[in-house]
Amino acid sequence: MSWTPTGRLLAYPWLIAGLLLAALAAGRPELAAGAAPLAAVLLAGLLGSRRPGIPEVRLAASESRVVEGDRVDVTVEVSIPAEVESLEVGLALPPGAELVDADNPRVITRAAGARQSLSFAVRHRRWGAYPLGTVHLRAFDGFRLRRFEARLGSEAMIRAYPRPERLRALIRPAHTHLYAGNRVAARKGEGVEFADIRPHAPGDQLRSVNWRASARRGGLWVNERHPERNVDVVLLLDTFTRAGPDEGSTLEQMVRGASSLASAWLRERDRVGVIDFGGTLRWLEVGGGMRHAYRLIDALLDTEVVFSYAWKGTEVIPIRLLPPHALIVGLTPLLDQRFLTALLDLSGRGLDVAAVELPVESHLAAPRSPAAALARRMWRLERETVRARLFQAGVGIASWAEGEPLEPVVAEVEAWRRRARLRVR
Amino acid sequence: MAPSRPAARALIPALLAVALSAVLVIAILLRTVAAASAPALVDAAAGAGIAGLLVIAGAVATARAAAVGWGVALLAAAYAACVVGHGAPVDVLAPLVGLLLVLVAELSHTACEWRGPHAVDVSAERRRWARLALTAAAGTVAGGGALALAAAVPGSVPGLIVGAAALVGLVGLAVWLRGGAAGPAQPVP
Repeated sequence: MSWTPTGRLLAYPWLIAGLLLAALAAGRPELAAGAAPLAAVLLAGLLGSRRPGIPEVRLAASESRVVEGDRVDVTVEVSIPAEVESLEVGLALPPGAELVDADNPRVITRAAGARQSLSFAVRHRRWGAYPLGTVHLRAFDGFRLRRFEARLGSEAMIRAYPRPERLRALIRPAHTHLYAGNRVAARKGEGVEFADIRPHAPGDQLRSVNWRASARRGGLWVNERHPERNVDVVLLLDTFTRAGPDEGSTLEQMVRGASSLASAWLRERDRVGVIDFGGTLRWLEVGGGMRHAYRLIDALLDTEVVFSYAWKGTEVIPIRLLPPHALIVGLTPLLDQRFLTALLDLSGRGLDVAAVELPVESHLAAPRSPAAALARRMWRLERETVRARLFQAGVGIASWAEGEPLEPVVAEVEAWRRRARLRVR
Repeated sequence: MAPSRPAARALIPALLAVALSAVLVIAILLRTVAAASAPALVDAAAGAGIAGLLVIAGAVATARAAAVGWGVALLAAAYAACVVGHGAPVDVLAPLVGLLLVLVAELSHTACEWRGPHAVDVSAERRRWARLALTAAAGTVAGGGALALAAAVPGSVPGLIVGAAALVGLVGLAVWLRGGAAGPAQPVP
């Protein structure tokens, strides 16, 4: 452990020296005698203690994956060096993490055992990947003349996942996939939902015969049903820019929304993929199941805005990331023209596209002059125009204000898409 | 460990430090006024003593441990002025003054430390104070012995040499002790 002198060790030698010097200068032995207790303390402190070695420390967390706001216990196991009788143990947490109810720092004494473990209850305020923290160890010699310190970090991480919002209804894709799922497909086949009746054909099962219709129409008629299939969903995240500070930014809201939507679709046995479309392009191909859910949320935690001037279009997105008949859901603050163009391009290619807008006005300062107020009005009109262009291209979009539930937004997008489908018919 | 609020737990050592300083200053002033031949020495002792008391009080009130040394140095200077003004007879209470200086310094440092974000282990503190009391008492006895020896053999040359060597050694020690810095964070095995 490295050591630093305390205030005592910095003061006592000079006090003793001053008193001895004054004794010599004035020829008065009383001043030297007055320095004797100080000198005794100084010598006893320096000669009676040794520098301790670096203690063994083990840091462990009760969970490596938690939902944001949940409590996780971080255990610090420390061996107290033989040279000190007590050790002060403090846990320095990364920004965004906080202690729930523990005293920090704490003192452990050698009398209670040479190896002890302390538990600190930690809560992570927002999603993200957090290091466990740094353990600060501090000890003093017997007279508190020297302070021994060590800082020991850990490379282990705790991943705090965004708390997913419960969504009872989701955006219904225009097309379903081939595999079994929970969505009623438009085509006919084996399923539960009734679709139509038709005359019996060789090979039809007896149980599919509709006896009432057969009795009325004179001949065998069988039921047709809609099969239940899954869907492919691609979440397209606008990471060109963001608005607001780290906590409460549009990026944070976007990740939270993407996590909720992905969890909801994956629960319905659908396949979900994610594309970070911004300064850099990152992706996770569509997939389903529990392992994919963890992979996807881990990928979401690493989402960040990378600033770039380079113009990027949908041509940079590998084609395999956009499966045929996939529903593409864009999450965007509508601040970057490149993302808007990408949404319009995808829609123009015949893909099924919807979007959730993350409003940025709450992050802007109130206009202070008439000119600024006019500029703000023009900016709002521009955003209205952008929305109108998206609607015109068949992209349903709804605004998700910060702090509001996501479910009504999803319902609004779905309602618009239903109306649009009816208009097309 | 007794968890308590830092300001509350530091109150007792802070009050004791200020009270002991006040006692020391009053004793020095009474002795100086009674015996001093030169008014300038009375002024010097009074000025240094009161300044030392104020510095100690300020240090414990604001938890500035670095100022404690200056406060104790001013109290020691006040005592030096008192001794010089006292004249020929040797002051046999000098080791007790040294003991008081140690107590003031320790109490003040303790008050400053307890004001900070440190955990305090009461049993360890108790053991430290016991060690400190024994050591300071031993130093006081040794100081008394040295004082008696100096009074018996006035102006001894070996004493002067030993004193000067001790002075040089202490200054060297103080310079050496300024080293030592916190090391970088190391990964936990």
